[in-house]
Amino acid sequence: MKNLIKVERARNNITQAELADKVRVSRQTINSIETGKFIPSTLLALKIANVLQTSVDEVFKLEDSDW
Amino acid sequence: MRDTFNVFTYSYKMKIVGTLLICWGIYAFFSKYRQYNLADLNLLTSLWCWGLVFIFFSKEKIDDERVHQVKFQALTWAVPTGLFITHLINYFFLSQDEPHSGKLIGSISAYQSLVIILLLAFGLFHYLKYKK
Repeated sequence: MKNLIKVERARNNITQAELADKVRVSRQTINSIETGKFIPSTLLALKIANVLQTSVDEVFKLEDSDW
Repeated sequence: MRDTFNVFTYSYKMKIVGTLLICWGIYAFFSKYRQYNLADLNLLTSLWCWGLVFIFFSKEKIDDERVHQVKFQALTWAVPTGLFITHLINYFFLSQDEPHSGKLIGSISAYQSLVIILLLAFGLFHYLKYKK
């Protein structure tokens, strides 16, 4: 699964630590999600999208390898 | 929407209880050794068992779903590996009598086996947490 958290963070001008604080996870978790090592739950994905003022499908995108 | 990942129920402060139990185990082991010249591993490991359970299964400072996933992953590796180590110790160091010799085959205690598993899980959890 591809994600555009880094791009959306840059657009919103917030750091990993700030995003982590707002969605109540650790900075390492945000880093793991950004690098594709960890796939978040629906709840966390919704929270991230909400903080980044966008929709979940704008931040997370399925890839061919996911099918 | 409720967070269904909230599975580790002991509070973070239970880690202190766990640490105290481990310290108590070490103290009890050495005081018994000094008094009776007896190395009572069962006393040590029974207290360590409880201590490690409280430390491993209580919440982390920041307890999110990634931490839960890593803890579960650490357990899935630690349980079979710990059991395998238990078998190896039993086979190479304790099970020297023939099965039909009429003697009981030696085995390490459940406390000791659980301590091996929990120590592996604890170490693996921290390794995976910082590696991932």
